[in-house]
Amino acid sequence: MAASGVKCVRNGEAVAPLGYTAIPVKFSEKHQSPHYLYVKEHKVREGRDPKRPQNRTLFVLNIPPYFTEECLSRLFSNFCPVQSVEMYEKPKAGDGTETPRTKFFNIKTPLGFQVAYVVFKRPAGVQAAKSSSLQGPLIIFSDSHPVQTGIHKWIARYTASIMDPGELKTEVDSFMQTYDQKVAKEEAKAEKEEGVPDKEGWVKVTRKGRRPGLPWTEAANLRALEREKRKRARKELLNFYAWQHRETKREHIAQLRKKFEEDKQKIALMRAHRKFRPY
Amino acid sequence: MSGSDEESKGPEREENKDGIHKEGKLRGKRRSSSSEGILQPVKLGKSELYKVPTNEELSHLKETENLFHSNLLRLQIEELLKEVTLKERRKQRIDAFLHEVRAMLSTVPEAPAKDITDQSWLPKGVKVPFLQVPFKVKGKFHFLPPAEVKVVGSYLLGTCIKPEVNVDVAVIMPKEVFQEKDNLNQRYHRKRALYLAHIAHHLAKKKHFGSVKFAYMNGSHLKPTVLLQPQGKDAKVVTVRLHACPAPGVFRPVRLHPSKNNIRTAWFTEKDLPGTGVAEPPTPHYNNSILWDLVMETHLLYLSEAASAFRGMQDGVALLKVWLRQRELHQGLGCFNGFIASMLVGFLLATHKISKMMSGYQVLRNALHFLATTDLTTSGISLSKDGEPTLPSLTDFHQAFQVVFVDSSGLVNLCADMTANTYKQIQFEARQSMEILDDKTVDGFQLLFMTPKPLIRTFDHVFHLQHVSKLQTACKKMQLLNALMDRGGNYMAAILPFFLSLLERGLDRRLVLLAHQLPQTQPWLINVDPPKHKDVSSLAFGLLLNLDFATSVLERGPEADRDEATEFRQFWGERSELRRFQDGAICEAVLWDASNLSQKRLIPKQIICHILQLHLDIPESSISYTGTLLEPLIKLGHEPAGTGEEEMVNLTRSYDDLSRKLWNLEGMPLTVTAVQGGHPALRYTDTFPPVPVKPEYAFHGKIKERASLLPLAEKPCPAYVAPIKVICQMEGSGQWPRNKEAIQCIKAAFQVQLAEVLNQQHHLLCRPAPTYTDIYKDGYVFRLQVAYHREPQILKEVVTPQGMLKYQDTPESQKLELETLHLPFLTSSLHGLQQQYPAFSGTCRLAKRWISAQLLSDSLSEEAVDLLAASLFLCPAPFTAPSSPQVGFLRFLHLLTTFDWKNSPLLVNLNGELKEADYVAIRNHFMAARPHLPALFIATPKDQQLSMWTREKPSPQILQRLLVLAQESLQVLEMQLMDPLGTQDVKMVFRPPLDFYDVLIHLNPKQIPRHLEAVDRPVTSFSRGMLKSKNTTKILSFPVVDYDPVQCYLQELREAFSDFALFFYDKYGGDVVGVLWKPSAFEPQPFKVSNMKGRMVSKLSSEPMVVPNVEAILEDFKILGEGLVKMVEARTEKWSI
Repeated sequence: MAASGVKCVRNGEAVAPLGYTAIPVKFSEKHQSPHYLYVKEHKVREGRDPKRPQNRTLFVLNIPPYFTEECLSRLFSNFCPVQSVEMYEKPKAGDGTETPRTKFFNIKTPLGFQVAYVVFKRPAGVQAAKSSSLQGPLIIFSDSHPVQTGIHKWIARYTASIMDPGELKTEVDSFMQTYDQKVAKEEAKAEKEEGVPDKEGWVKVTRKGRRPGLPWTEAANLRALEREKRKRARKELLNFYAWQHRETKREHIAQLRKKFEEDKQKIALMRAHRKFRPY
Repeated sequence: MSGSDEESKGPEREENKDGIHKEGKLRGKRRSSSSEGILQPVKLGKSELYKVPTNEELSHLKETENLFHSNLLRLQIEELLKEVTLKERRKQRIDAFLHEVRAMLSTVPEAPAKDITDQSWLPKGVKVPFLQVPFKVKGKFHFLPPAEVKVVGSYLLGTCIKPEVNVDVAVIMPKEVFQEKDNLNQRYHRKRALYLAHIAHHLAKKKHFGSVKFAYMNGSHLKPTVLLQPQGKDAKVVTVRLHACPAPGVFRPVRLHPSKNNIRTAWFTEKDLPGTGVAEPPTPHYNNSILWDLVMETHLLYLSEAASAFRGMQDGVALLKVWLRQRELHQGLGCFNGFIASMLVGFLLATHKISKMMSGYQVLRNALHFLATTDLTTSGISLSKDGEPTLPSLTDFHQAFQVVFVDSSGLVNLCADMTANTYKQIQFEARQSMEILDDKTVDGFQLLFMTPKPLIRTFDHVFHLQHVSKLQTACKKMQLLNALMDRGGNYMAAILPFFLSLLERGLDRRLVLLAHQLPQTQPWLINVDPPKHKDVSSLAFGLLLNLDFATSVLERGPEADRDEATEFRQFWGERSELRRFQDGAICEAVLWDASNLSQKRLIPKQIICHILQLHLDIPESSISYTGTLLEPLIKLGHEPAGTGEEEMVNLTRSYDDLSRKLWNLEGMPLTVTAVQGGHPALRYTDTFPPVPVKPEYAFHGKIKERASLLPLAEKPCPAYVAPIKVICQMEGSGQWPRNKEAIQCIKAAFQVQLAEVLNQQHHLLCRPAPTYTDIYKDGYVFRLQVAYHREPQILKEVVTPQGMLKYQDTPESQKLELETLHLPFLTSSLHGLQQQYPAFSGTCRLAKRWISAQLLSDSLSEEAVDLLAASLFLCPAPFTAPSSPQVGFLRFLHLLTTFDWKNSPLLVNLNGELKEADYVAIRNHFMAARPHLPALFIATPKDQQLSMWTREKPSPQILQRLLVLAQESLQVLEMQLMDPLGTQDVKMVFRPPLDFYDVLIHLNPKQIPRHLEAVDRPVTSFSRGMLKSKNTTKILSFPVVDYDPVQCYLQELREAFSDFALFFYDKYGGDVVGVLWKPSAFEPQPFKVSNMKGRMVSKLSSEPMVVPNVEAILEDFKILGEGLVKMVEARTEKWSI
């Protein structure tokens, strides 16, 4: 653990775990206590992402909630021009299968602490960032680069929530168009396979066609079982033989006994809680 | 009983009872996670369950099955009796003490004979325990040592119960103490008092007792008694009451019949009245009080005969006593005490209503049944054998007393001081208790014996008479001299029956029951004067209101030309006026002024004040009426403000209109099949219901093309406009896609189209969004949400690897079901409940206000509170369903504190859909699955196993805190409401204790849109950019909807710092956020990438451990709430990080 970087900053010492560098950040000059960003070079063994080149990408931990991508990129461009910044709630493998972002659905703006992948234009940026904490805390907010928090931010968010119905309609229409095409294609495919035996001679029964099969659902399964059971119960004679009679009586007494035991236990518990004092 | 037993019986069990086997499995799991105070399922081996029963066991089981609904009741009663009866050791100590007392009494020395009025022989240290008005009285008093000392009453019968152990001792005064005509003019009573005074002084001198005091027997000031307590730590063991009784043969009973007079008017008024020929009025109560002393011993004999070889009587009387005590009927003037209860059991035995074979429970049942069905105010009962011509008849008794229960001697009315109202109350209670005992779904034991029913929690409205002395003048006005004489000058006792009947007549059908507190006086030291009549500081009355009539504003009298009209006019005074009704009749009528429900609830107060002023000259200022004291907390707006019911009716009207419009929309590809409300205001449970708004343009920013207003940062935050959520179910059709993204898109398309169509056809201002459409209508903003009934099903679909289609709950589908299925159902059910019980709304909203005021509103879902409040109405036993929000709220707090949340589910039987079998099934399931169920479990007919509204919150810790707060609040509030002066600040329990929190974030009121809803309403607040409702400007822009900066702030705080702290806030206008650190978060943890949010690496340890960066977090609180946060107050002195 000796290698863990112990660096001097103005307010004392920032300690970082192995492999990481702590960069203090403050919201503005006025504020006293900095947060620490923990940065390290982004390295993965598998699933390399072309968008995150190994030697130029910096992995940043513990980003305070008021950071935006823009402001991260601005701060880090002090070290070296920044190519791109991605922010997430938790570390995410960049495997390229990112869901296409829609403007209207499933949007969730993260509000807590985040992590980020900062890609510099040159590999030198990573090194510069890693040795940066010598220069004192980074300042996020300045008059030239205001960061919205509080009332201003909420008003902006409210304003953004009022959207253009036309745009929404277009997006919906285009989505539905592709969806309809997809469904149509699937259906066409299913129709083609209808009644045609596969290599081993099996014919697939689908819900389409002349003799549609029942879908195999759990509910249907249960229903069938239930029907069987009822059928069996109907056939059985009750209280016919003497032993059956005896059985039911025995069962009844056993039930009462069981209840009695349960009640005794309840009483014991209540007694323990002194539940019988009417005063 | 061993584990192997359970397993070995597996196959055999399976064929007859599948269910039990499964349960067994569940149990196995539970035992491992056993925690204290939670019931563990019992485990009985097969051999244990199926062994051959003995005869005894069989009869025991049968009896419990048939007689008690379950073993539980039987066992509970046994336990209760064990708890209240005296232990053998205590009895020994009592016996020893009684011996001492007896020995001491025999040593009391004789005193010289003097006039009764000459009390100079009494030593300084003792005052005569009697109000000697008028003082002058003839006769001589001569103290002689007691002829005999006897223990009487419950102690010998074994019906004496804890907590107040009293042993009655009769001190027999020798014949020589008395003279002829001592029955006249309180002479007997004065002598008795002097006798006791002498004894008391003598006993006190000996310094042998813990305390020697005087007290009135059953609150009757004619009959003082001496209370003796042992010394030292034995003081609590017993209180011995010394009653002085005349030796037999002193008085002739004939002179004391109820129709005889024994107090002369001339003596009482101290005036020589000329009309000597006028017959003196009878003095039944006075006579009764002398007779009572004569027959004390006979009563004991009678009872001990009844109790011999009758174990059930002891138990039954003990149960009855507990029952009476919980209903506060056991002491005070005109009480139904344990003695009367014993006599009642004796009566039932004598009339063969019970037999000596019966158990205590059966005795109780029969006694309650008798009380419930017999009206002693009209058909009294007597223990004496008929046919004695010298004895007064029952009719004589009925003429003299309100309630008649004659003893075995045929002379004494045991219920002489009881008012008819008290008896009615007893009857009412008995009837209710019988219902409870017959109801298998409730825990009868708990409700009958363990739940106290104090006046304030039982009755809808309660009022206090502050200055009892005002009644004296009222007595004069009512010309009640005779009654006053009879009661020995106790004007309260004299006027009470008249007072009550006056109120009953005035309130008439508004009333179910009118009850009063039994007047009581505390024991006093022997060296002070006895308490005067006016020392009964106040008298409290309870009103149980009839829902249907209590709030009606009109009192329709007889037609003007009828004879009754004059009487009606006389009764109501100037308030009575002639009115012409719609049916053409012209009648006398009284109209009370009340414009909204909140004022209507106070009509009983108006009536009471009016009548008391008119007939008894009691001014309004001496009545303190507590029925609506809490209502200011849910009032909003300018005077005269209502409590919001009217606003919700208006809203519902607008909503109904909207739903009609939606059903009839044209030009939609699919029709709207149902419109369902989800907002609490649509089920009358929104604390501050939405009101119509008209925004002021100048105050806001604008987006012109979308016709929407925006908040401005430099202006105060605009008033909060709550969107009213409405679910709009669309018709099912094959056209709906079967893919969830596609459904979402289609729904969005519907939202847009709905907005367009509504705008075109009804010219409503609409604003669509992907998941909802806002509609601005009549000043309200409705948030319309399109729903497709198969969507939750589609979200649940999972295909197993085998290709089987399965339905599995996912968080997404559950949320959607909750919103579109269960919430509308709850809303409509509770809407119905409100129509049935008008006090539901107020109760529920007060409860929500209180929870929020305690900063816990975000820790408990609104629907859960709704259900808790609903349970008070659906299952009110042992009370009746509340008819005023105040009593409802008190019971809400009581429910929270007393309900056993750990071991029982709360069943809310909405629409009465739960049947008896369901109750059992729910309870069984609950017991089996307890560890996996939420801390607060509420089952409803549509939700029997999951308790969906409490699944996520409250956490056990929060629930615990809530319960503690409820208990404190209930205590304080009841004390305040029962304070006869009525000057207490009832808002106290709505101010949260803030010393509990580690950090306080103070907010700037300028940016709190709901600031006016605060508990302590600010005198001035900011303009919130709304026009007056009268303003007729047509509004063409959307107001700012659902914008509450504080909620935005809280959301950010919780997202960012939920690992470290909990945040508490009063959403109704609170100006402080309480922060509580989570202790576990502050323990240093090893470095982990996923665990670095807001933390820093600690410098202290050699290992790189991470700790929260507290200083920076505190600064973040301020940064995140820029413009909203005024100050962050860190109470570092409290932390122990």
